[in-house]
Amino acid sequence: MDNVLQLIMKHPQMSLEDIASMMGLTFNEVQDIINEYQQKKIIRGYRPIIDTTMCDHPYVSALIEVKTNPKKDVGFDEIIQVVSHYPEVESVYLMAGEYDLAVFVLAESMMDIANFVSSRLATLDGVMSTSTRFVLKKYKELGIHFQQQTDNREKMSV
Amino acid sequence: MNEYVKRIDKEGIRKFFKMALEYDDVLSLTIGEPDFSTPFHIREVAMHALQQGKTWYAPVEGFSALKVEIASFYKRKYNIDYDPEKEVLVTVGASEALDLAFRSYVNKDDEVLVFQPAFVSYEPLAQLTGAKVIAVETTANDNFIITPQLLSQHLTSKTKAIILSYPNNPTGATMNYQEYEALVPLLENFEGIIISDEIYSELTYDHKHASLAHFKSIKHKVIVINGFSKAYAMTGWRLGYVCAHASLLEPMVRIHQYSLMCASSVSQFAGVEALKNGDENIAMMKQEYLHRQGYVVSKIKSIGLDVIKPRGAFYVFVDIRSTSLSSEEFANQLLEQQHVAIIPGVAFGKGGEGFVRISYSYSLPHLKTALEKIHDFVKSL
Repeated sequence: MDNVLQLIMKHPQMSLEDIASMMGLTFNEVQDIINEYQQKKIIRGYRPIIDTTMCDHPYVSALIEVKTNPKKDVGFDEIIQVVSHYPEVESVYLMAGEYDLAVFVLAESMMDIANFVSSRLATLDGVMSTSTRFVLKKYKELGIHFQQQTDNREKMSV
Repeated sequence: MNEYVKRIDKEGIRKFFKMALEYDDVLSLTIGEPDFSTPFHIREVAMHALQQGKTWYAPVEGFSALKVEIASFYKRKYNIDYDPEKEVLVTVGASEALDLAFRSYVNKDDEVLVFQPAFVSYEPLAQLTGAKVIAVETTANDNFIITPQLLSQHLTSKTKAIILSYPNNPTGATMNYQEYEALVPLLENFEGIIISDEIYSELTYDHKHASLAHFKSIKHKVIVINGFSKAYAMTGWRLGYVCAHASLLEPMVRIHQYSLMCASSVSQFAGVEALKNGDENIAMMKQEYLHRQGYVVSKIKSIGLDVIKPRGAFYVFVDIRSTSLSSEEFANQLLEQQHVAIIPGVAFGKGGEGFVRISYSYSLPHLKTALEKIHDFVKSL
């Protein structure tokens, strides 16, 4: 991965001027690089990483492992298309291993997730079984630590 | 008290640190150590050694495996040959190595040239031998490097040792091969020793690290000092080393065996892992420092202050002469008004007057907040 992408991943809120100064590039050069990544759909979007457990009304998240019966010609694509469009679904990954889809969901309560699984996900044509695993606590997401990372160095050293 | 100890500045730079610590919310840009933790694979090797109970003394000169890796590191990285069995000594940090070098070769009233601005320990360590320290000031006009003119002005028949350090703390200056080469003819006629503190060697940004030990005609009088603190973020492990001609090393080993006996064995196991498998860690940290350096230099310039782009280490030496404040006044007022701590250049020798040292060994958000405060301070002058 090139340096500009690495920097954006680490500091998505940094201004183009600052990225330019860090990379030894001009503002326009950085703008061109980022535009190109967006056009090529390498950069798909930006969003803040939120510790939902800290919100006034904490959200619940879960990983649902889904075994499917892939269809001839379309494979997993058809069912993934359907699953991806549910608003409570945050991420969907096709996996190697014991199950096919890892579906991460975010909802207001465990009951909402239970309802989602039993009434909408498990009943889909092609879904053979589901296994729901609730997240108890988040420690790190997309590279961001949720526990306080403190600078423990002695404040003053030469 | 020993008469030489009496002569050493009691507080030195700590006088300023004490002032800074009076503020609870002080934002410090003073730290001279990496903000990264030691890479995990290095810590893992140390943990494994402890679990296995490998907690005994190490050999006086250091474990053979480590000395072999040190010699191979200097060959691989800098193309300088050292015999691991006869020309390498593992020490308790580079600081012990500095002390050994002075104590082995300097007698009372000998002259020691200390090129400044420089790390604060050189002068007191030399003074402990009873030596007469000659502070030689490199200047911003020469990008803080040692020129043949400067060297020839101060090198005399009384000079017993010279000490230099590039990449340099606090200036961020480096010397390349050609710049060192220009000094060699003068040093060929010099009969004392040359102490080359290369602790920041792996943080050289725009050229290959160079050393006076590259030059065969003077290599036999060069004591190369290096360590693991800056390159591998291993400051607390206290692990350093000396590379020098066997005859040059012998008196240093003699003192080391009585004063320290050996460097920590668990640190030495970790050191072997660092040298064997740590290149990627260095590259990652170096890249991060470079990004921060670009950010800090551009912000300092936008404030309207001058700065020579650092070529090594993780410091920016900011020219504050345009403010008409002395470096101490600048640092003190910045601390009082904005609660930001930086180090006045004069703490590193008189030649540092007119400059302040900013360390960029901090996270970007920390640097951003501190630099905004420096901006407000300078605009208020």
